[in-house]
Amino acid sequence: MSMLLGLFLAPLLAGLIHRVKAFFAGRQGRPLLQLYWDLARLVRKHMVLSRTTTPVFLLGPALSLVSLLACLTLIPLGGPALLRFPGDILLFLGLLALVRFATVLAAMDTGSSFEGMGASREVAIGALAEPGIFLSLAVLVVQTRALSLSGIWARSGPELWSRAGLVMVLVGIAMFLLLLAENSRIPVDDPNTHLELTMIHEVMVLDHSGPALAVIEYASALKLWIGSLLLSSLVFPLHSGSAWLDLLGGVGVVFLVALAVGLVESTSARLSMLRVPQFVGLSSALSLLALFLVIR
Amino acid sequence: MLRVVTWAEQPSDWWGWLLVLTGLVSGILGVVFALAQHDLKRLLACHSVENLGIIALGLGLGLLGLSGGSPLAAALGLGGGLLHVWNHAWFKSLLFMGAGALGKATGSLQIESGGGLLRRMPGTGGAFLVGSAAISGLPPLNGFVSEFLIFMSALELLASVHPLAGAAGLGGLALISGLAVACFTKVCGVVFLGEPRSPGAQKATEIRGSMLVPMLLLAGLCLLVGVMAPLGIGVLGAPLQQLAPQADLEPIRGSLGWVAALGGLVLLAGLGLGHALSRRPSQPGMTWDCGYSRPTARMQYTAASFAGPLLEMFSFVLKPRHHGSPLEGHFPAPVGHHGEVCDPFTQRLYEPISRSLMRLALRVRVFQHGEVQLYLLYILITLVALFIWEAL
Amino acid sequence: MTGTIDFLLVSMILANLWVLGSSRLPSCIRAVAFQGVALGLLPFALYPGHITWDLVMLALVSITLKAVVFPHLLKRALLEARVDPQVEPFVGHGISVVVGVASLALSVALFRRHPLPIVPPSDLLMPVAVSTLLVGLFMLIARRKALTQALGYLVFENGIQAFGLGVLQHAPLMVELGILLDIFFAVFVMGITLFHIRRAFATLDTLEMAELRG
Repeated sequence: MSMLLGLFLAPLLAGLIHRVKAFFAGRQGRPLLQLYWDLARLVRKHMVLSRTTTPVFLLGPALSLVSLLACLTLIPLGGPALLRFPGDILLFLGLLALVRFATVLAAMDTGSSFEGMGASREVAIGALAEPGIFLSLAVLVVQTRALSLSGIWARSGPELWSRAGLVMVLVGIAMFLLLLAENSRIPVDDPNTHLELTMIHEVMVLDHSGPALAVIEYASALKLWIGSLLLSSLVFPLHSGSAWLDLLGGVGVVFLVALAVGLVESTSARLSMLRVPQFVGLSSALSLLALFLVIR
Repeated sequence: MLRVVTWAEQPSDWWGWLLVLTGLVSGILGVVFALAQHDLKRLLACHSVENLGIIALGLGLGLLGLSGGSPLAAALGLGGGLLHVWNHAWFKSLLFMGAGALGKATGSLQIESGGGLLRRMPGTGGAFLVGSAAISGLPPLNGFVSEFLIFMSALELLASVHPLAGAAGLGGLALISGLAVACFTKVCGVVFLGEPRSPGAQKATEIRGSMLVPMLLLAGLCLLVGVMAPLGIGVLGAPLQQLAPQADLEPIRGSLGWVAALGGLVLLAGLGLGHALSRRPSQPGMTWDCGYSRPTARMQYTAASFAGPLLEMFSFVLKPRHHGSPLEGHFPAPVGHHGEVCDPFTQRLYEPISRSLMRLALRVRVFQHGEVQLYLLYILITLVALFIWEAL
Repeated sequence: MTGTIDFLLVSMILANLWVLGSSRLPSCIRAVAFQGVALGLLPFALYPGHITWDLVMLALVSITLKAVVFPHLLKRALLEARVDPQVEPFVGHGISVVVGVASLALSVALFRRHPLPIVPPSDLLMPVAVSTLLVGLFMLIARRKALTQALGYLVFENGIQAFGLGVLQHAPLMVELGILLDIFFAVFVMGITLFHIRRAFATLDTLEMAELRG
């Protein structure tokens, strides 16, 4: 149930962020449901395949989408996730790494120098973000003594906040920074930029078109949903007793996170590429700090 | 090393710490140096350093688990380390065979002289891709299973007896696997994808079947071990029973079952979706070149540029050197740029040591002149000195 | 009360990382001022039962000096000597932050292994104090400008003071005041000297000063 919700609502999240940014820029903005229409149109189109490419070019987006779907089965929302077992956190992170591997190879497959550049930046940022994600989740593991995402969800909440509020604040900030970095949002990357040389994620998918582009767009919407869901379910979970209320609250927090992303994007300038490592490193430092607070 | 550990009654903390720290240092430095290499065999050799680091890390965490009294962490760490020894043997031989095939097909082991080889050598390319994904620790391949065990061990330690070691292992291994992904996307992307970058790669053809079959077999093995991981734990069970008898591995076996099932499913579904996509109507075109009229293969992103941002971050250990001059004027003359990363260990550690050893050796040579009597005298002196030492 | 203590200690750590990671001198100065405030408030959180007049006075003086007077003096020195506000590190910012975190890890490990004979009021206090001390030393070693040397010295001193808070419940008032006065003069002299050095040699680079030796 909660998984279906994610599948349907994910593109809405991107629309919401767009509207927030438009609001701050004094524009009307595109319709909230624009991405749905875009996807529907892209799926019906023909593709242009570069003569350079190999099956890897199409396999990349396909594998990323499927891995993200698998991730979605592991994250709890308003109730334990579909699949849960000790150590599912590691599988979750492994699948995210697989997404990066597949996307980057698909980009390299075109032989375009722009896409090579984007790929190079993506792996650099990804490699630095990796310790941050592991450590911030490790903090939650130690705090809740649970080795699965659903277990963390079950034992996190207001009680944990009152016991270790400072730790939760640090982890929350770290995870939010990682969410921005991993989903190529503004201080790290600008999803709306139009100059190839300045992009990271968008430049990697320059050559994909038609259904392949639809798969990519949908996958990145899902990734944003998953990132926000992680914050919503692990750091700010609700346990009201009623499953429906929990679900509603969880989705609400997801949209609040998207709202915060929109706010950050509207009020901050993009960092220079040389400062990005520091930005990503900051999240590792924060989660490490939280870890020291927990274990000392 | 493990053999010795089983003899010892109770391993002490510092063994584990030593292994964890060596593992971290050699793991991170290994993969960073690999990123800087542009010769495929040297790159793979650097990755061996990295993988030995991972193995040492796993064993170290396991030992800390033993000494701290956390049998589960011990079993996981030791098991992960042992399994990684096997896995490393498989995917590394696969990758070295791939490097050999590359050398045979294009006549060069330089990464930059590859390019577009997946089209020309689909078997080698496919097997190499699988090996790369395995060494980068991606699910559902075997590298992920051993790293999964080591990560679990680190998480166990983190929550129980040695939190600092757990934290170090966790963060370090995460960084290592992130960097490994960067390094192997570089290799695969530059060698097997894109357009040929050299005349050799242009003319490359698939290698003989006798060379190809072992590679495909090994690739299959990497996948099989990944998907059959719950059974693999059974094979490891016996030695682990001996090392950490109280550990209850049942939940882990269940987890690995889920990992294998979901990972396998992802792979199958991904292949299916990719196939479905390729069946959609499409027309051939050219790679988007931003309106530039004559793109050439030389305009592709090179391996050096790909690794550039990460190398810049680690420049304090790598000490890269750049030669070249900046562009000048409105219509700049052709300029060259050349950068290289030399091996600091050769230059700063081994060479000084071997130089001073040579000097010492020359000095000692005085004693070696070929007279038997004097040699016997040396023996006598040594013996007497030993007796005096003992007597004291 | 643990929450407040942790909050102040984490603020001190964050200030350390901020100083190490920032590439602009004014921002570094602000970070050190921020650390001074956190440190000044720390005694109230640590010993809520022993708030006396001299403690309050000491905290007030300490905060005023570290958060208002020193930053002001340093900024003046910065302006008057027309120093380029880049930090110019020997060791890069990213690596410096890693060093900062590593120093914290090291101190945590140290105090886990060798607990102190006395029980400090918070088990995070000692690691933070030692790591602040190390960061201060690192700043002194790894930065090039004379002004950053002054900042490193301040951070170092903050570390010592935090350590003192854990070891002695009440440092004699006079000693504390003496230390503060000492630093006050150090910063004061440093500011004036910077100004004069700048006038004499047109540079504040410590490397070039090293060439002055006979």
